[in-house]
Amino acid sequence: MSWLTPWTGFIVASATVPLLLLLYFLKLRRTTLTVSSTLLWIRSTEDLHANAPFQRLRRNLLLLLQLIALLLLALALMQPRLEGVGSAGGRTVLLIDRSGSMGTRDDAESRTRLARAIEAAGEEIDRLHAGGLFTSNDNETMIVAFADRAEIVQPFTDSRQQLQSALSNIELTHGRSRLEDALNLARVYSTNTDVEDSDRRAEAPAALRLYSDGRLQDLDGLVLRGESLLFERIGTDAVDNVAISNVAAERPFDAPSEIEVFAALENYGRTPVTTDVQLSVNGLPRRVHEVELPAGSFDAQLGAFNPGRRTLVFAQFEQERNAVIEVEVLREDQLPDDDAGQLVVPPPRRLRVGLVTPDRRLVRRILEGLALERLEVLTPEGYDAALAERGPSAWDVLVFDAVVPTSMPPVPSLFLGRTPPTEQLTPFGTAEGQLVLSGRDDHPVLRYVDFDSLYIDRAVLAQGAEGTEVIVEGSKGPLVTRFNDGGIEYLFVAFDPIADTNWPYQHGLGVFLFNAVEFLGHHGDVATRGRREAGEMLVARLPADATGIELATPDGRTLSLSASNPRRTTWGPIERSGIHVVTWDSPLDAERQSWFESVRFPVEVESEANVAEAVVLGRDTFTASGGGASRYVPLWPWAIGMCLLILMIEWWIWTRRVGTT
Amino acid sequence: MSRFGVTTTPRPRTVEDLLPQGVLSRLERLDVVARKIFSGRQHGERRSRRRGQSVDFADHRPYTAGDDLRFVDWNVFARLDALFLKLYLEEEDLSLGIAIDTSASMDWGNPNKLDMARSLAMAIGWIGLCNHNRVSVHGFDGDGIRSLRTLRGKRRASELGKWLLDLEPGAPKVPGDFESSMRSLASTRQGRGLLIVCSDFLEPDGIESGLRFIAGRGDELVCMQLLAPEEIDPVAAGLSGDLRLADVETGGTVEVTVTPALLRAYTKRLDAWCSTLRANCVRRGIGHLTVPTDTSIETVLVEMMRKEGFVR
Repeated sequence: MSWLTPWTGFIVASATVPLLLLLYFLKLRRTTLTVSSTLLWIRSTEDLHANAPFQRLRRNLLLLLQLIALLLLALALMQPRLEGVGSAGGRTVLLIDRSGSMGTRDDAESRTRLARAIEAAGEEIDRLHAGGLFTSNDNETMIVAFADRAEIVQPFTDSRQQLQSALSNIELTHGRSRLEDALNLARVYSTNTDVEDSDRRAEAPAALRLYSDGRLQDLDGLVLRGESLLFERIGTDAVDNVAISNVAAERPFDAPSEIEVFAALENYGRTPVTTDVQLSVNGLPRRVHEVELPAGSFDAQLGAFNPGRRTLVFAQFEQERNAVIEVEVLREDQLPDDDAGQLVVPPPRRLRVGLVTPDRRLVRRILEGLALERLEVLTPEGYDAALAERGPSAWDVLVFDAVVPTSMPPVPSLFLGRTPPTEQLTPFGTAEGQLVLSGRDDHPVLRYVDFDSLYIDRAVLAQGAEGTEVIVEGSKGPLVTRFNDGGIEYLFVAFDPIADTNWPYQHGLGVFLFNAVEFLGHHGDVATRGRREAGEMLVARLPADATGIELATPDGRTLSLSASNPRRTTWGPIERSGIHVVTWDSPLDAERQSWFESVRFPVEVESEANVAEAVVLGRDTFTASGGGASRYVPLWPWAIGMCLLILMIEWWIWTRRVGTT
Repeated sequence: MSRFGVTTTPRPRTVEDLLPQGVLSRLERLDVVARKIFSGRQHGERRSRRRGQSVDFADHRPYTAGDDLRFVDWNVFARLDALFLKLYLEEEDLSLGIAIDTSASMDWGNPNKLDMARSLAMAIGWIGLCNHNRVSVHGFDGDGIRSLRTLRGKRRASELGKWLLDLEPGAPKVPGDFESSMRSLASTRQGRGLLIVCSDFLEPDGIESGLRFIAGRGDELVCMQLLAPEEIDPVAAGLSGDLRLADVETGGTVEVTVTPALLRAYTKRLDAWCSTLRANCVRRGIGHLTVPTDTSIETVLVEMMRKEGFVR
């Protein structure tokens, strides 16, 4: 038991108790009245026996009760409390994990781990800032919520009310658990940079309280720099969780009006699971499959948990228009946030391609062989005139075959063999005799493309600026580069595939051109865009004349987005997985236009919700303290209550003895 | 509000103040009653122990030589042929004594107890004078006894009144004074008769021993206990709060906090005190009457004393 304000109660007691005793020692100032005889009064009165002070004290129950009440009041003013875990006081930083795994509902009341973490942190705040009615302690606390990024939800303050209010505003995200940002923030804000503020001790690092399930992704390389860390482990082991780890859809070449959906499921529980999986299209259930998932197991050699996996292919179905595909596990588990995966499939669209060429036939023949809406062959001069006359909306994709425009074209373009006039690429020479060293096989541009026998006789060497993506790396420099200039995607092939390679004699050139045109033409469409994860930025490429842009998030919020350049409308970081819908007004259409972005739950790191036993930072291992700080119990309300009870008893006795005449 | 117990009613300055004329005339019809028959000194209107010359037949007795032949009952002689004398009751006067406690405790209350005692003495004395009784009045306190010479006849009423008006409160009594006063009174009082003692009887040592002297002398005794309203109901008289009560006689003080419990105890004590006094009186054949001083003289005499049989 400790006392918050012992001196207050002591001073009050030492001032009032002697005063009360003095009042009882002193005789009452009585009015003298003359009576005919005191004979009967002497025999009647009880006060007669209390004239001697100590005799009076001994026999006076009222005084005893008043003394007890006074001492209880002084006791209450001292603010006694029973404490649980001790506190060092000073500055404390509460680190609240709000990553996806903190949405696990693994307690008896089905509360999320985040809710329990907030509750535990709230109790800690109550304990640290028990504070007083008459004094305030010098504890200061800061709250940092973190997932992919850390955010200060409350800077250092000694206001319990502010802390509790900030705590209640922390919301769950579907991001990954990354502690580094949070630690950096805590260090930055707990370091005293004000040399004139001598009250704050720069050498005293803050005490850290980590409220997490311990599933932290970036512990390697993190060390504490003198801070003390208390790991409040939230959650339990052996979580029952089945997750949709991936959803993919494809329109087959031979049936572009149909969609084929693939889903991958993972079982993070330790028992096999049989569950129904439902496919919904635009909110309407289409298919339900029963899936048996093997149990997950811990691989001691790798030191990692391997979930039980199954993939699922839903039969093709007709869907000519765009569709929001959702695959959902029809089973209640402890982490419902990863039970569904969404995907937006655009409608099949044929492209309008412009080929700017000095009349070379091979590229033209290949492009003519593709299923395009229109292929327009232009000379470099004709291109300039057509652009000036018809504007950029005349084409979906431009292919510059061994020519370059005078300025960067305002539509996605493929440059073959010539360096475009952009600041994103800086040519610095040529290289001769190259082979392909590596290529990003997962990139849509390289799908089914074989570089094994490709020989490049001559290629331009160009240095890409930050943000450019090298898709194919040659033995002497980048060969295929993707870059973005002014919000428009471009592909640059550093060699002339016709004149400088043996590619025309291989089938790979046709496939590459098909992929490149499809990639550039559908880059704004979801089907060709990589799905984003919570924690990333949302980037929408809207028409330049889009107005009234709004974003509807999966949790039902609608936000107004203001973008100076609608072609690159950004928002983020994304907090929740699911479908994000961007709508806008277009002067050409009466109806509002929509753009969908599906955001996936980071299943591979956040769905394994079993809590970690300890958090290891460098050489330090912090074991769980077991579910939060114990609540301190303030005793002063009890003292006040007993004081009131004593006063009531005293009042009752007094009215029985004296009352009002 | 008047100060507790301090007399604010007008003090009597004349005989008229003691007993208004109208009351005097109504009291003439009353007479004091003595249960016992006492021998008087002069012929009067009250039956005496002695045989005399009244018209009331009392008894016969055989004739002896020297008896007055006028009292021989000749009818009996005719029937029995023997001489018997007819005896008649004698009517004599009654010795009526009134003793007033003039100690300091009596000079208290509102109305004042001593004033009430003087008025009562005047009224009873007037009744006695009207009925040709020998009336004697005494005052007793710590200084001793002061007595008025025996009066007889209505013409002495003014003398009685003047003496009563001059009767000032005396020295406070000390323990044992009441007994010595009663002893002195018993020794100085002439003849036996009816003695009425007016006092508050708030004696720490009790009054039994004092009354014993009077009762042992053969007088018929009536104790009239006079209590002020402040003594009977202190709360109604304004007693409240934390007080120091000073005894007007002894000077002793007692500190009290007036509470319902204390008042209940006081009332209980007062009732017990009066009951004890009444029980002692009854046991000794002494008449007892408690008179609040705010009662009118007529009410006391015509209603209370008549009801108790002290007057008729």
